[in-house]
Amino acid sequence: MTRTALVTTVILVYLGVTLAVGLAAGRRASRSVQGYVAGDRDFGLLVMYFITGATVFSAFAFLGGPGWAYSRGAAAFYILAYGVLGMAPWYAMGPKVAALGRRFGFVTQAQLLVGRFPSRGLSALLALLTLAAFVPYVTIQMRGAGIVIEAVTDGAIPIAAGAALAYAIVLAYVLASGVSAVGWTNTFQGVFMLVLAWALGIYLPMRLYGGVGPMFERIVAERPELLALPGRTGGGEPWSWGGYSSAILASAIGVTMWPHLFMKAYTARSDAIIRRTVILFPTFQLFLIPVFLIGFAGVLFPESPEQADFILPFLVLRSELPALVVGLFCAGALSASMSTGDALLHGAASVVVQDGVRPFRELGDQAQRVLMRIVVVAVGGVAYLFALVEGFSLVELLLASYGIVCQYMPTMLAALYWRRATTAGAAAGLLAGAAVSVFFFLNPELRPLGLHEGILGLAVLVSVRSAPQEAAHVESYVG
Amino acid sequence: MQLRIWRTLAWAYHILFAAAVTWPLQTLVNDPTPLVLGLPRQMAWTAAWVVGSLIVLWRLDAARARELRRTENASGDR
Repeated sequence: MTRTALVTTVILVYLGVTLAVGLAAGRRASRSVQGYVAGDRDFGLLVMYFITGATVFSAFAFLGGPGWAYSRGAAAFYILAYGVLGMAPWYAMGPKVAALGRRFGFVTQAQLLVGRFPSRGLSALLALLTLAAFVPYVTIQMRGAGIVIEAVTDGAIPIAAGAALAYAIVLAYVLASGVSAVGWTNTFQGVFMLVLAWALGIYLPMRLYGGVGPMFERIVAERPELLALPGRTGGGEPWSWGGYSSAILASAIGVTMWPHLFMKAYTARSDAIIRRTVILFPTFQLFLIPVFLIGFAGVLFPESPEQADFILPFLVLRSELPALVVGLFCAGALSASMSTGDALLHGAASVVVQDGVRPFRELGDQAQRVLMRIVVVAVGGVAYLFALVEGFSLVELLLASYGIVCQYMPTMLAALYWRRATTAGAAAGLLAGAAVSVFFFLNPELRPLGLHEGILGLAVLVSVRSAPQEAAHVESYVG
Repeated sequence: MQLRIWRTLAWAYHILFAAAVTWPLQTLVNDPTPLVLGLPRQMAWTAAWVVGSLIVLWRLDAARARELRRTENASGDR
């Protein structure tokens, strides 16, 4: 068997196992909206741990993480800092959100917000913002999958075909089994990501420099500017402290407000499981250490890839690794892409139908499930069309949507903890925050201190001058 | 009582964590050498805060479990 054929075989076996796991997962779930969207609120600790970790860490972490360490040096450490900061408040918030979900039958994030602040307009606005944020996010995952497959098969499978193959599998299991498939495939994919990242992150520095310590000693001697915080910008200039610090804070706030992650609070079997998932999250987060080691291993490598994000496949293909390991690496990268992409597609469909359509039109359980599957295919199709367009600046769009998702935070805190908050105040705050965030994204030169536009949006406070809500209604959410 | 202390500690820890990895506190830890376990010092610093989060939240959870057992026992005695 030739090398390419062997690598391709490993990838196909991985995809086959993923599909089998995804299809088998759906057999246990009930055929209802609650089963399709919230897994009958019956996920245990193992699945919750991996669904959280594997969904948070996408193709961006697996390819972009080494890319950042390689080209921007210490700037990459911000990714290591924010995940746990974002997840820790969930120890208190998660069980509260889950309790409201059980009590009122919520399965999405917007349902909770609209439950406290009744407004069909707010519901539609949240659905629209979510959809706008998800499409570029899914597109990046698809391109990531295509790029990896193209690289390791020496171009035998081009990006378009590789992305189509990986996401045809994702569509198949998300359509058949809903969130149960997302949960169980993420468990399989999460194990893959962890093992591959740690193995490669320790192996590559050993092989190229004789160890992690000797590698950094050489970087300190030859490229000291890379290891000084706040690191470099994409263009190689020194990054600002304001940019570094606010990237940590904005991402920490964004991470728990992403609707596809937020709604996983409804899938846990018990509050204790949500708390333990939060406690254990740092063990997943630490896989960024080997991810960065891979990127740093490329710093003193004699050749360099065309784009920084390709440093991982570039090193893997030039380090004379056995074909089996190259194939497994590829499966690890696909895991990172698919485990985020599936949650996004499933989340987009749930949000569009539950928050965008249902408030306006009465739908039966069966009709909802059919419509959600149609939206899964539609969102996947649109994202795939974007993925085929070269040179489209999706990362920029994704960063903009992170800024908008950040603006959910004050509204969410108000819904859960602030008695005096009202619908008018919540909607005005959300719109004003999003507007400020978009304004500074479009006019980056106006940002004070180079702060992230999401943080600037949060600074907009809206005074509440409308009549307070009924005490009993407030008590059921805040109490 | 213990639960309240651990809850306060957990909040304080994560606020300190956020402060320790951003400007201006992080500027105090900004020399990559001496390497810690082979890693640049800033990276080991951030990783140590991540591990600390696990320990603090785990202790908080243990305190919550003790509190729950105590109240259950108390209501059983009555």
